[in-house]
This record gives sequence, C-alpha cells and structure tokens, in this order.
Amino acid sequence: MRVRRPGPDLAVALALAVLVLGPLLVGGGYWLVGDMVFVPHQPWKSAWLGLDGSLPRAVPMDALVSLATHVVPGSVVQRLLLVGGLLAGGLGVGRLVGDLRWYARAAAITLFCWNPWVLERLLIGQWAILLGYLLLPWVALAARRLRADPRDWGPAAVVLVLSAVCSPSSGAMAVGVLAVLTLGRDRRTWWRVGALAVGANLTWAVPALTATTVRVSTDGVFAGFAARAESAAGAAASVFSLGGIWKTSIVPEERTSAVLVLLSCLLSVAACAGLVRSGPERRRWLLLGAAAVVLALLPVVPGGSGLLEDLAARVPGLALLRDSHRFLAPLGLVLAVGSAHAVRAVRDRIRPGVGALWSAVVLLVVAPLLLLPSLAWGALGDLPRSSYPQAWEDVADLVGPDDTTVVLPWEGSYRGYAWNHRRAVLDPAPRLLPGTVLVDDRVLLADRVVPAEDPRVVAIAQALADPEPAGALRAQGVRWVLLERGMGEPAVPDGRIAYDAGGLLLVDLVVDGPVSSVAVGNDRSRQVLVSIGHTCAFLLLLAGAAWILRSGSNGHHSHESHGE
Amino acid sequence: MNTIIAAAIGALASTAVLVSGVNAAQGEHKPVSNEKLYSYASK
Repeated sequence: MRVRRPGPDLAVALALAVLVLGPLLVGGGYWLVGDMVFVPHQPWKSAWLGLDGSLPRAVPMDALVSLATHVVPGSVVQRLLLVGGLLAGGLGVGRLVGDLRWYARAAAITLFCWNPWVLERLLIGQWAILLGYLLLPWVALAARRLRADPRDWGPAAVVLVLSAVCSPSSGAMAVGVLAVLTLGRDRRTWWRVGALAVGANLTWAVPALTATTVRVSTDGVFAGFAARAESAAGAAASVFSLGGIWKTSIVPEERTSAVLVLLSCLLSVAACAGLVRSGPERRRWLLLGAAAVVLALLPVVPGGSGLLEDLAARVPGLALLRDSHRFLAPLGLVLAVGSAHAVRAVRDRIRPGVGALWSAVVLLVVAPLLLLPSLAWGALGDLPRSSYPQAWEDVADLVGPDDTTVVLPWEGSYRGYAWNHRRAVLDPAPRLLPGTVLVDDRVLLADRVVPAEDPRVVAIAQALADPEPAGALRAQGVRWVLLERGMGEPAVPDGRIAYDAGGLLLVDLVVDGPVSSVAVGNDRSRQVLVSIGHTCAFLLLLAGAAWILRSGSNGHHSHESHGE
Repeated sequence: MNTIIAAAIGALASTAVLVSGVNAAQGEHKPVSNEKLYSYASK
C-alpha cells in the first residue's frame, strides 16, 4: 500500500491547531491554568532531574523546559510545545491511516485532536500528558514496524523515550500501546519491548524509586480522582465518548447535556463499527480501546476505588493509576483510526441514487467539532492570556540559588491571582524563583484533602504553627518567606521586609538569626543512580534516532504490516 | 433514498449544532471569591 502525501493532513492539523490555540498565537503572555505553568526564565535546579531526592513530578520535562527558557522566553516555549504537539499528533494519526483517502484521514485527525479528553486535559493544564497523548500515533506506527520486523527497534525506542520524558503516565501509556499493538507469540519481541520499555522509562523511574523525601499517599485518591458522569447519561457514556474527568469545575457546558453525550457516543459507535472493517489489526485496536475504558472506569464501579487503594498500599507503582481517566487516552487513538475506516466504509457504499451519503462522510469529519464547540479559540475564551507582574521577576532577582523560600498562603499549591483572571493555577514560584521553594503540597479537593507527600513540607507546616515561626523556619533552613497577597490573610513570620509591591511580600528571616544548614538529598550513590538512569534513556534515544537515520525512515515501512 | 439519508444526517447535524451551541453559549467563568482559597478542584 502506498502512503499519500502529507499535505492535506498538515493542512487539517494546522487548521485545528490554529482553531484551538488561536488566542495564544495572536498575542503575548501565557496560558496559565491548572498544572500548566510556564515562566519567562526557569532557573536550573538539580530537582529538575530528580537529583535532590524530592518527588519527581515533572522529571525530566522541567529540565528540558528550563534549558529551553535559557534560549527563548517561556512564552515561546509554551507555544512551540502546544502547536508542535497538535501538528505531530495530527500528522501521526494521518500517517497511521495513510492508505485511506484524504477525507478519511481528516476524520481521524479531527477526532484525535478535537475531543473531550483533549479539552479537559488542556483545561486542567496537563500539557505534558497531552503531549504524551499526541505521541501515541507514532507509538502505533513504531509498533507496526516492530511487528513487521522485530529487529526494527529504532522508532519504538525514540517514541518510548519521548513519551517517558513527557510524564511517567505517558511513558507507561506508550508502553501499553506498544505492547498491545506489537506483542504476539514471538518471544524475542517480548524481550525487545520489555528492554525498550525499561530503558526508556529509567529517566523518571529511578528518581521515583530512589526518592528519599517522599511519602506517596494513596488514601482516598482513587475515589477522589475517579471519572465522573458529566450528564444524566452516566459515567460510562461520558467515558465512552472520551469525557468524564474528575474535575467537574472545568467540564464544558455542552458535555452536561445528555443528548450531546449520547450523540458523541453515537460517533464512538460509528468509529467502532469502522474498526471492525480495519483489517487484521482490528482485534488489537479493539483490545486497546477496551483496556482504556476498563482502566478509566475501574475506580467508578462499586468497590473499585477501594480495591485499587488496597492494592496500591501493597504495590507502590499502582499509585500511578490515580486519576485513571488519563489512561483513557488510547481510546482517542482507537476511535480516530475507527472513524477513518468508518468514512471509507460509507464512501464504498456511495452509488448513483445514494449520493446523499456524502453528507454522512462530511458529518463524520466535522462531528467532533459540532459536538464540542468549546474547544475552539482558547476554550471559547475560557483561556485568556496572562502576563506576570514585574514583581515576580524582582523577587526572583533577590533570592539566591542556595536559598530556601517558603510560599504563603500555606493552603495547597493552587492560586487564583487577579492578574491571571482568577483562574486556579499551580503556584509558579517553584519554577520562577531560584533555590529551593517550598509550597504546601497537599492536594485540596472539593470533598477531601490528599496529604502532603514531602516530609520537609510537613516540617514547614509545623514550623509555621510554632509560637515563634521565624525561628522555627530558620531551623528548617528557610531564609525567605514569600506572601502572595489577595488570597486570604495568613500570618507572616517576623523579619526584614525585602520587597513589598505588585501583590508580593518578601520577608528576609536572616536578620534575626542565622539560618540552619539542612542537608537534603545529598546522597551521592542516589545521585549516581539517577544520573545513570537519565544517561541510559538519553543513549537509547540517540541510538534509536541513529537507527532510524541509518535505515532511511521515510515512511515506506509504515504500512508493511497491516497483517500479522 | 437520497431524501431519507439527507433528512437523517441533517437531523443529526442540526441537533448537535443546536444543543452544543446553546449549551456552549451558556458557559461562563465563575471565579472563586476573594475570601476563599483556591483548590485543585477550582476552575
């Protein structure tokens, strides 16, 4: 089968990217929402590589973003990542169904890039997980090559490392997709996939497994982050149509309509029907989709969250499954591929007398947009751009790279700044200020609180509750206290006011006594292990890229193995 | 046959546009009040 030129795919993906990200592209500033925090210049810290023993939340993505902001401003990095991700995802899924006509490929691209999962992850600010999702078509392409020739491991190595770089759950998801689409009776392929999966994910797994200052909590997290019914149609209908995120405050209004959710389910059914005609790969696609739905619904079924909690208490890695709705992502890929085949099936039935079936083809292509208009133009204005007040850079200039800063209010790590249109966003201070920045890392949900995971944060909470908090904080190695005004009136420890403007108050505690030296994460052997993990993943990436270049990766392999 | 197909597809498309359009137009941002602190569940 021949691969068609990517021109139409690029045009569709570009149009969707502009339609989704338009407001971000036409002006300056940032989209700061939920976990999506970019800063003008992100200073380098060992924590970005997980070398300090802290919880590797965004290792090594924070390291790459930090390096990138040394070259271009963070606002440019944000735009490049989001636009590049959507283009890569669109082109990838188009290539995955490259033997179909352009309008069938357009249906796949539209459904893949424009669905509730994408909107909800964008609005919750999980841009790195979104990038991992947009890499999935390339994982599927790599799986095809690996299945056609078990020695052709280069593309799989590259996409697995890139996925692992995005986030731990993206890395795990990519391994799952590769395994389902590749593995068969050939034991050698099992070994190869296993080795690639381990090597690629060492970059976050070693820091996570050797973290000394972390206590991962599983208490109530599975129920707290379980998928939700967005409408009267129920949780299963929401999940089957790629929605149902736990964070109901960001669910777009149209998803609360049972009619819309059921119409979206109809699109999913059409895509599944198309999958049945997708050739010998169909069983693998259907298995992948079913696994994604089961994972997302597991905490929803009676007793499911309790069971997961019990298991996670015994198997630490299972905590990764909290917010298992994110693992619904492969269903987006499966439905996109199915949608393209559904278009082909309808096209094959068009004959004189039933020319109106062309309208069904058009509907399949544009249905994702009609069913979810809220994704257009920055979530219909729900994602306004923001710029940091000058005060943030002024404060960053005062704090030294060896200092420790505590950020107030000590009430979770999400803020609603007036300058950010009072959107809930992860506190940018740890990324903007040099040195160690401690924020209350408890996760406050509507009906529960996920406890702090960093023991040092617990110690700071106790110091703040001390009758003489300034001294207690100094004993914990803290020099600065940064109060972010406008969100409650927390008590500020005594000290010299070093800065007070633009909504920020910076207090220097050192004037009333010396700051104790607190050794954190200085375990040499651990740092060596973490460095080895990063090096292995990086070498695997280089080796995979070299393999692709050597074998002349121009796509001519990508459709050799629709059969098995 | 063409009429039936066009009517069915038209009905589906117009329902989707109408319901999604009306609902999307009703969506509005409700900021958390100044006195209340933000949580991960806040918009």
